[in-house]
Amino acid sequence: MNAYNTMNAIAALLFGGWVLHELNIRNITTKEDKDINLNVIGILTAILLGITSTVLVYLGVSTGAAFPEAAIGVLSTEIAKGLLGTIGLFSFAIIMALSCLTTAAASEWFFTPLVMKNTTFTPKNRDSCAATGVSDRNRSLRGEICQDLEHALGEVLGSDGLFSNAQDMFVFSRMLLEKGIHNTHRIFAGPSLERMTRGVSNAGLFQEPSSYLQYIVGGGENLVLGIRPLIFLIFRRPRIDSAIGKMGGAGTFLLIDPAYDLVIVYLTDYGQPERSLEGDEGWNRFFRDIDVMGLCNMVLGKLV
Amino acid sequence: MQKRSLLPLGVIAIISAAMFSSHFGMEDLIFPPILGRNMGTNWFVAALGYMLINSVGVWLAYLACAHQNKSLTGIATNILGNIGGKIYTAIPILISVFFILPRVSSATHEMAIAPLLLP
Repeated sequence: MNAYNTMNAIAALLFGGWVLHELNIRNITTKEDKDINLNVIGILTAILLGITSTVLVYLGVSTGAAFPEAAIGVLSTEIAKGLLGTIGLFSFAIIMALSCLTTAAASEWFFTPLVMKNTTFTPKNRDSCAATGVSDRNRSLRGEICQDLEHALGEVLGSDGLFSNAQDMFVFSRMLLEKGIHNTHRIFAGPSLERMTRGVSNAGLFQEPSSYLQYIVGGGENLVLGIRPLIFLIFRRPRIDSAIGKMGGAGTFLLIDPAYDLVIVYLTDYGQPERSLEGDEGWNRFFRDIDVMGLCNMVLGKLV
Repeated sequence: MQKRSLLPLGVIAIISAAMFSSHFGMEDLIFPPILGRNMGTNWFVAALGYMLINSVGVWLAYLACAHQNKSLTGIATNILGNIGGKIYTAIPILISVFFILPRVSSATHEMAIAPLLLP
């Protein structure tokens, strides 16, 4: 029980990094600004610590004489302050949990370095987003993907619901084309990138693809959700090995082809088919318009 | 000279309070009373000394962080090279395993469990 020496100075060096991180999130980026902010925070923390330690020492002076035999730790219990220790521990745990919750790792590590300003969960201006579907009660879903119950609870589903625009998708795709490097700054490590863009291993009929970016284009022999005819329509060849891409049910697709150094981001809001992809009105319009517009045929026809 | 921009006062106060409550642990609670009891009438000198190491030391540590714009491992890497960063990564881990866990458990036992359940 003699190890009750505070390690606040060492801890402060560690917590300093934590505060610097917090200042980064709050757009305090230059060294001078961080300097003055961290100074003020340090002074206030030191003042608070000084006040409490002095008061507690005085507490020991004024009441400790009543318990001359009490050992360290027991004394505090004896003067009925023991339970505050657990509150200190609890507050630390709560603060840690809260700070973990508010630190958006994806935004900080990927979207900010890539300058993808319009890519976010829970967009602030929902009316500027294209409608992606219809909720249970025929409410048009703009800038959210949650159904009515979750909407009433104010939630966005954790597995989905990242919103972006064509500019940002293009930046992200170009980063993938550069093998994870954006402006000489590495965003993704090699293994992560390999896992994201790996081909489908087996051409089973409804096999879960091992890479979602290769959902459509990878492996022309695959028939994944009846998408194969569209592939043939666009590319007029059964297999494009190098290309990766993803097609969204709302009428969007993304194609990245390293062989031709080509990125295609195609965004429409024809709406999400309810049950099957084929036969739905919106899907048919999407299907037809790609054909009529001939955008991909034109671009790829010159290349392929 | 470029004007230095300070965060809003409320934000500064909240971050400071968070840092204070992170620093305020078991030892800050139970050590000062025993210090005061043992020092008796000289308690203010003892309090000043304790404040010197406990709060001024903390402020100096934040000053170092602000000056270097780095955390503990970054500063250690600056001074000692690569091995310094590794040493100062190991030290907090070892401290937490060998000091803090036994201390927290023993203090919880002595201050909360023993007085209530083992009279």
